[in-house]
Amino acid sequence: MISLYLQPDKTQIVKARFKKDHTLYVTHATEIQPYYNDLNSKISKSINSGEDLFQDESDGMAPLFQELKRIVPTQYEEVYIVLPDTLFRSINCGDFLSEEEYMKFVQSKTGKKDDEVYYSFPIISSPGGQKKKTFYAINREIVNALTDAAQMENISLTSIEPASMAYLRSAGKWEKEYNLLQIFDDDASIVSYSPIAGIFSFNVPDLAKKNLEKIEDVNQVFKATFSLNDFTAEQIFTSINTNVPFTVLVDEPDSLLSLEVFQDRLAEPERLPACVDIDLAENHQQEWFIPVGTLLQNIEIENEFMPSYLNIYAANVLPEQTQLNAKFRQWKHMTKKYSRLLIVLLAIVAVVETAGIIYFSTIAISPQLQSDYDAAQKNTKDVDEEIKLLAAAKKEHEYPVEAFKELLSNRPDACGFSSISVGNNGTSTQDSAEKWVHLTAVASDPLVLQNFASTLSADEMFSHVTMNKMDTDPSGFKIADLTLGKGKIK
Amino acid sequence: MNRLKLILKNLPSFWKEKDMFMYIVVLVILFILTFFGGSKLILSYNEAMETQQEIESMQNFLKEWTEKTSVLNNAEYRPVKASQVDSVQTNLLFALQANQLELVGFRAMPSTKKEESSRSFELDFTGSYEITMHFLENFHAKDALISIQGLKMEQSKGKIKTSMQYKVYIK
Repeated sequence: MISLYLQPDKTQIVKARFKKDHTLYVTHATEIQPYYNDLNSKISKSINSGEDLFQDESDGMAPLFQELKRIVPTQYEEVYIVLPDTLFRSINCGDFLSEEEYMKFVQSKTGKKDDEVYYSFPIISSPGGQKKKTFYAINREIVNALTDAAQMENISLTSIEPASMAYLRSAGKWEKEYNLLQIFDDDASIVSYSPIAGIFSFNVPDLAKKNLEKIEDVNQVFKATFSLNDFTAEQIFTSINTNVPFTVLVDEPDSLLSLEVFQDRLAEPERLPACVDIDLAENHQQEWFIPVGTLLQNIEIENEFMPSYLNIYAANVLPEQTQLNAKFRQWKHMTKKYSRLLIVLLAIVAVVETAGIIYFSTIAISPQLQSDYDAAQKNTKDVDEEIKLLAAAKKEHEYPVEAFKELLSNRPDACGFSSISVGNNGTSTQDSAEKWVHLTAVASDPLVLQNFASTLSADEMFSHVTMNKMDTDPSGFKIADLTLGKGKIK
Repeated sequence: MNRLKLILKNLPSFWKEKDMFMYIVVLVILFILTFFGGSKLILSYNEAMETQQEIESMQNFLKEWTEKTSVLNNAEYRPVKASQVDSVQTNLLFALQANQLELVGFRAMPSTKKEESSRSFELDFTGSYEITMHFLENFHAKDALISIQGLKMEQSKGKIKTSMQYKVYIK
C-alpha cells in the first residue's frame, strides 16, 4: 500500500505493508515535487470558467501517478491519497436529530448541491444523550480529477482522505482535544477536534507564510486567530477546555514556534503508535503522521482511553462505487499476479511430470537381456540336473584306488594282502561308511598284523579299524580279516 | 450490508473480463494436465519400478546361471547322453584290452526307476598287479562322468582278480 500526501509545497510518499502481526511496516518514505498547486489552480479555473477539466493527459494529475510509478512499483499496490484540509469545501460537525435535518445542515455549510460534492462522515459522538456527526465535504471535480488520472495510469486509488483525520489517527489519542494548525506558503487552516462533538475547521489565510512575512506583529495575528478559534470552538464544542494547545504542522517550524504566542499553547511533539514500524528518529516522526495515518484507516488500534460514546470511521471521500472499482482492480491485479505464478508453477510441474514420464518409460527390459534370460530359462533345468549328477557322483564314488594306495603305503614289509574289497556298491548308510574296506592280510608274525591295524587306525583316511578275526593257515601264516571305515579322503 | 450487495452486484463483471477468463481457462487446463500428468507419472513410476525389479531378478538369475554353467564347463567329467553309454562301455573295454587285462565277465546291472539318470555295470578282469593298478588309476572314458561303486581284488595264481561295479551318469 502506498500513500501520497499532496501538500502545496511538496508531496510525501509512503510505501508500507502490514506484517502478519498487524504491524504497519514502512518500507519507503520520500518527498517529491508538489502537485497540489496544479490540482488546486486548475480546478479553481475550471470551476470559475465552467470548462471541462483536464482535457488531455498533460493537463490532468496523470504526471503525479507517472512520477509515483517511477519511484515505487505500483502494480499490485493500493494507493491512498491525503489532501490538505484547505482543499475541502467544508469541515464541520452538527447535531444529528434526523438524517434529513442533518443533510440540510450539511448543505447549508457547503452551499452546494449533493451532486456537486462528495462527503465523508468519519466521527459520530453521542455523549450524554446528544448526537453529533462530523462531515467532510469536497468538490467532486477534485476527486474526479484524481480518480480519472488514476484510472488512466492503471492505479488502484483506494482512498482520498483529509489530512486532519489522518493526523488524528496517527496520534491515536481520540480522547484528547486537538487544535491542528497547518501552515503553507499561500494557505493555512486550523482544524479543531473534541471527542464530545467532532471536528470543525476554518481556513486562516492570514497565517500563510507569505502573508506572515508582510506583517510586523506576527504574535498579535496569531493571538487574534487563536481567540477566534477558541470562540468558535466554544460555540460548537459546548464544554471544550480553554487554551487547548496547538499542534503546528509547518516546514521549518523553528522560527515560527519561537514566537511568544506559542510559549503557552504549543502541543508536545507526538510519536507514531507502536503498531507502526518505521526507521525514523522520534523527533521527525510527526512530519510523517499524515501519510502514515491514512494507511491505518482500516485497522483498529487499541486505545484503553477511547471514549465509549465515540465512533470513528475512515474519512474516505471516494464514492463507494469508485472504492469498489479500485478494490476490484486491486483484486484483479492480485488474482492475475498469483494466477501467473500458479501458471508458471503448474507449467513447471507439467514439464517435470513429462520428463519423469519419459524417463520412466525408458526403463524396459533390453531385448538382449530378455533373449539371454529366455535361453537360460530353457536350459536351467538341464544345468541343475547335471550339477545334481556331479554332486551325486562325488558322493557315490568310493575312491578305491586312493584307499588301496593308502593301504599299501601303510603296509609293513612282512605283510601281504590276499584280498581287498572297497566300497558297498553305492550304498551310503552309516553302517556302509564304517565298513568301507574289507581287507584280508597275511603275515608270519601276528604282531606285524596287529601293528598294521594300529598304523591304519592312526591314518586319517580310515576310521573304525577293526580286526574281525585272525586265523592260521596250514603253512603257519597268520591271516587276519580287517574292516575299515571311511575317514577323510585326501 | 449495502457494500456487500454492491460487491455481489459487481462480482460477475470481475470474471467476465476477457483476460480474467483466459487466466481461468489456462489454469483449468493446466490443473487438468498436471492432475492427469501426475497420475500418469505415478503409474509410470510404479511400472518402471516393477520393470527394474524384474531386470534385477533376471540379472541375478543370469548371474547364477552363469556360475552354474561355469561349474559345468570347468568340470573334468560330465554326464553323458543315454545314447553315448555304449560308446563309454566300448572305450572302457578297449582300455582293458589295451592294458592286456583279461576280461572275465561284464554285465549291466538291472536299473531301477530311481536310476534313470545313471547306468550301473559290473566288470571282472584279471591281470598283473601293476597293469591292474594302471588301469584303475586311469579308469575313465573321455570326459564321461563315472563313479566306482565297489572294487574287490583277490590274489589268485600270481595274478590279481578284480571285480568292480561302476556307474555311468546320464544326462
